[in-house]
Amino acid sequence: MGRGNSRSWNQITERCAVFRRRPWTRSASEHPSFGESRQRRKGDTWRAWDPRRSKISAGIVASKVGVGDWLPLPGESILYLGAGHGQTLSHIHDLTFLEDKSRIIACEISSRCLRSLRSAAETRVGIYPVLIDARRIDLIGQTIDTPVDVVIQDVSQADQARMFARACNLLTPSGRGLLSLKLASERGGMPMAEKSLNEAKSMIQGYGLTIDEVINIERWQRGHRLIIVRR
Amino acid sequence: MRIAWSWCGAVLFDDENMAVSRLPLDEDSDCVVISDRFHSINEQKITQEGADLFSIHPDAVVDRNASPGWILGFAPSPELKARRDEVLQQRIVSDLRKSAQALDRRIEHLLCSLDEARESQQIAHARLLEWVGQLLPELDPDADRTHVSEAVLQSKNLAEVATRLKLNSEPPDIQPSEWNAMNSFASNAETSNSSASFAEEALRLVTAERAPSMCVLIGPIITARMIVAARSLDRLARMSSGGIQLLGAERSFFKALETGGPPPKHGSIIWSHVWVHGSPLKARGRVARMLAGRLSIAARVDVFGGDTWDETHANDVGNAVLEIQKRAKGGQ
Repeated sequence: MGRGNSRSWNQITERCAVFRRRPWTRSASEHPSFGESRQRRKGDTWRAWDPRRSKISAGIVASKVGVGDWLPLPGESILYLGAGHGQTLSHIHDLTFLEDKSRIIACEISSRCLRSLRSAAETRVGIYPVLIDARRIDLIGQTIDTPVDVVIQDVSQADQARMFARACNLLTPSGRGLLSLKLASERGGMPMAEKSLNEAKSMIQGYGLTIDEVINIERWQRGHRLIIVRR
Repeated sequence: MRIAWSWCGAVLFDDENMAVSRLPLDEDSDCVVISDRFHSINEQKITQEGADLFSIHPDAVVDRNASPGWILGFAPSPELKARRDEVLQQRIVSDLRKSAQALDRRIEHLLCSLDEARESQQIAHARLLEWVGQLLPELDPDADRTHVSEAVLQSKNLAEVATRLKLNSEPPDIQPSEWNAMNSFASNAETSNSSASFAEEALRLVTAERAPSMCVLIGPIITARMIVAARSLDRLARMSSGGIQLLGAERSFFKALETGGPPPKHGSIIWSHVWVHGSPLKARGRVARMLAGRLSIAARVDVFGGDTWDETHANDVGNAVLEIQKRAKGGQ
């Protein structure tokens, strides 16, 4: 993504644009959600997607290859592991929402977060929160009936790469995976960051997946990388 | 031969990975049946359909985990899928109910509300002492704060405060609104005080219910602090006694590791028990280590079961503490 031209409205896809160094998504819901900036353009509401609060948003700003290659598209089904309070989830929903078609399975283990997700699911159609440990991929596989188009994982715990690679078994043959890798979550802490990144990469490749890009989002999210994977 | 299974049925594969026999879930299955299948999957036990296939082919190898339905070639009807979604919602609701019952989280809320109420009460008392002292200079700056705040609360004006505090100073003229502000601030302190007492009373009961053995040893408040610091009693019971000993001293412990300095002898939580902070400096490390060892056993008794500790155990530990203190004094 070119950062130089950040002052003008830079449309990436139909539903996503970059303006003032942050991505914006065309809102699929009129309900106010997280107190983010909004603006109206040609009759649509656009919501700012703060790269400091979302790893995917940081990845959109920092990605060197075409964002359009990996960004979730309208109508795609998503498996989101570690949905948290649902802020990133709401933007993913903006990108994918298509009446009767798009489906987002939001897995979260914390009951506190799940309460937020349930209220988000009430205002946004096609979000299905489930209270499941992201490591229980067998259980997650029972909640969906067809392979998903995109797997997104943001769980910040040891063994993230293996969990992600196993979750990618649920992808369609043309599916993509977005892994937000927290380097400090692997054993050994920050001095081991480089090593753990390489280990994560070889783990993902060991499961037969192709790594398209490793996006350095250090500037917004300390100690994180966003890894784009293709089946 | 291999049996793979999912919520919507089970399949027998031969050695070439061809499906030989399949047993789908009955299309008319209601939510109770589907809920039972999900219960089995959650427990990593084979579902009813898989067990039925296995009884016909007892030589087959059974998958440990469930597989996604589409991999096994199942296509459940929309009605069945809708019932499955309903079951998932029911499971969320029941899981949320279960976590609402979680005593550890309730202990955390009680302890935090207790600490916050005490803090705001002390801040209000300190503010009132300065405020009244400014207006009535004869007030002793080291006077009993509670007393001052009570006097403000019970009076109708500043002159009455002076009489109640037995000061012979001439109160300055203040606006009635200023007096009202001071008076309602004093009632604020009073409210904080009573909510702290309620929180403490409830905390004692809830913690004694959750961790009776630990409470016998070190009392419910310190037990609650340990549970919150370890983030749950289950985690506390899995901690080493060295970990329990250092709860609340993580920073100095890691600093000691980095710089090679002396490691801390005890964390702030175990220190707050009189057995530790009342011991001579030389004995504190030993007392803390012994107490932490006993505490880790008590926590395991509370979590994994066993005979709940009673006063005799507490007396034993108390005697051991006295023994260590005596030895430390003898060595001086």
